[in-house]
Amino acid sequence: MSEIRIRLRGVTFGYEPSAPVIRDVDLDLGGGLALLVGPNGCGKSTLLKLMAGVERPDAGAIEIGGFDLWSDELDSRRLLAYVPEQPDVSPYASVVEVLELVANLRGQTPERISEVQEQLGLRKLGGRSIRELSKGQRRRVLLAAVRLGTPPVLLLDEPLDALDRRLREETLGWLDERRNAGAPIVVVTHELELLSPLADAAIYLVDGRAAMVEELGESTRDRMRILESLARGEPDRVGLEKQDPR
Amino acid sequence: MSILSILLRFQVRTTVRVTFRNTLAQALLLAVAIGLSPDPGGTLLSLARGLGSGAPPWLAAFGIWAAWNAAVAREPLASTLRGWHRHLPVSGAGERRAAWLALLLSQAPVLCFAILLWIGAGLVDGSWRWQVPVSLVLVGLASATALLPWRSEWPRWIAAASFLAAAFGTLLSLALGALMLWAVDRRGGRLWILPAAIRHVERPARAGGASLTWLIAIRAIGWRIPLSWLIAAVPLTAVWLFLRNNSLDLAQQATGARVGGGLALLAVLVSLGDALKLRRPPWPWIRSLPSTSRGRVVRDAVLLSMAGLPSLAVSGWLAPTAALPLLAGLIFQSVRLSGALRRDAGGTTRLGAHALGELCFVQLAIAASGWTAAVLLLLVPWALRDATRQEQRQKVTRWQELHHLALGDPAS
Repeated sequence: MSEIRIRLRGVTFGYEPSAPVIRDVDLDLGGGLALLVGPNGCGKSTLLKLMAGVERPDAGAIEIGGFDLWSDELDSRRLLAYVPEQPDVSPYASVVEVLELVANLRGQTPERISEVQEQLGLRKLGGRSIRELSKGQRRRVLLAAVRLGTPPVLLLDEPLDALDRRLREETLGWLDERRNAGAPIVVVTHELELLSPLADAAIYLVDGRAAMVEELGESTRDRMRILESLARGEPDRVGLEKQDPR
Repeated sequence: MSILSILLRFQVRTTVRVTFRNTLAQALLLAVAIGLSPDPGGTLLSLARGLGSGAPPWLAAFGIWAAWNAAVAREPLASTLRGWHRHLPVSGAGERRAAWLALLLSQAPVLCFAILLWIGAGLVDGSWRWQVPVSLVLVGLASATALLPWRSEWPRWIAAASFLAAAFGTLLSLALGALMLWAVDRRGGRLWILPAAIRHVERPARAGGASLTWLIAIRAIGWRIPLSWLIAAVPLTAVWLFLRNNSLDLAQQATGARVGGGLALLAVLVSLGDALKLRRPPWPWIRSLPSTSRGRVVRDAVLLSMAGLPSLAVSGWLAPTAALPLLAGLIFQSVRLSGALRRDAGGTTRLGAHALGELCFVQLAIAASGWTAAVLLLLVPWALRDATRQEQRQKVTRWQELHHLALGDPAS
């Protein structure tokens, strides 16, 4: 599993072609948990959407495990699981229907659906339409979908947002387990205190360009100091380069 | 201004007004049906006399027609009553009566038409049965009552009984119908407008897997599918009458069927394509699952083609040789439309003018020569590649956030 990597080469993307949000990003991520941090609106979620194959780059290429996301759509997507920031599951589907969709695409059994429903406390919500769920319940559905099968690459956008305390702890435990198994995990989060102990690296974005910090320090204090500076968009405060837009 | 009138104005502006659009299609259908009859004036007069006679089947038929419009208004109306609306300083009875009157107003075009017919019959024959307008209003009120989201089922049953009583149109039955509605109003209590979640906990799960994308599309467009068939029936009926009343050779019949069938398919594809683009938000997350862009495009194309099959079958019945060219055109156009659904039409959520123009041009070409369809069939692989490119290139999250999140999403 450890040989599976996420590679971005010269990735550029903008919702308007004239105003790119992500500029010429090169990244090479292996096993371990990388926190994707930066101030609001810097393009963290957009970069994750690009890695997940939700949006297609205007330029450049993204590979998951050696498969290009847009020319080897099936093979690349079999390797990844994504939780979006907005739990934007179709409002016209029920919980079980969404889980069945993912289970069928990932070759999972109906029993596995029941198991993840149980784990995520969705047993009683199975027949409900997604539009009837709260934000936290929608996020549970997406986290349940991620656990169907064991896609080695996890891309999670604010995975702890709107979850209750028990589920947060359970999710952190599961993340740690997957990290120890060597899965490449990228997490966008503002919950640095909770996730910093699990972080092996950090990716920060400034003006649409990304850089990676692989040494976060040993002590909790050091790690938090570095991560907080990156999250504020002030990498220079911890001696890191502030990227200049081209 | 009273609370009732404030609520009613709100309902009319936000929900009932929307349902009036249906009336346009219904009026068009009726006008075509009457206009194509051998004696339009006579048809209209017999319609007026039938209703003016106050016979129960006539009153019930108009009542059911009006109730159908109220049924369309029901869901948007119920959704405005949920959530935020609940904190407003309004009594349960006020809320219920406003919703009740709003559902009555959604039937107004049909009821007004019926009353105009009654006036016409009265002017021609000089006999005025006053029970007819009273019965029509009562029937409308009974339908509105039955369609309100009640906590229990008994008000619906009473309202249904009231509908039947009102449709009989006698003095006694009208009084009975009015009494039943009054009783429901007195004893009905608050409406059941809590989030639907509470009512549907035990709803069984349905199909899953890849077919879910079809289910989602069908749920999103819902009753627009039969409505599109109704619209498609207009050109098909016109062509059927044209072919029946003229002596034509086989080639002319086939051309006629291609014209009618082409227009019918155009109506189905445009109305459903537009509804899909407007009402089914793109689902960004599904793009991260192991499925292909091509698969998503093909699934939409198959759905659109299936929706066109009834029109195709009727065209084949009119002139069997017209069916094959129309089928080839349907396949090509469904794939093209599937691509157009994914194209950014200048920031709007409707189909772009170029897509509509292309659909019209293709149908025109098929109508002019059936052999065009062979070329279109050859072009299907290219159309599929182009649609797949559109699917991959669309900026789905931007599209959703700008245009779709407010459409029925409680988080918005």
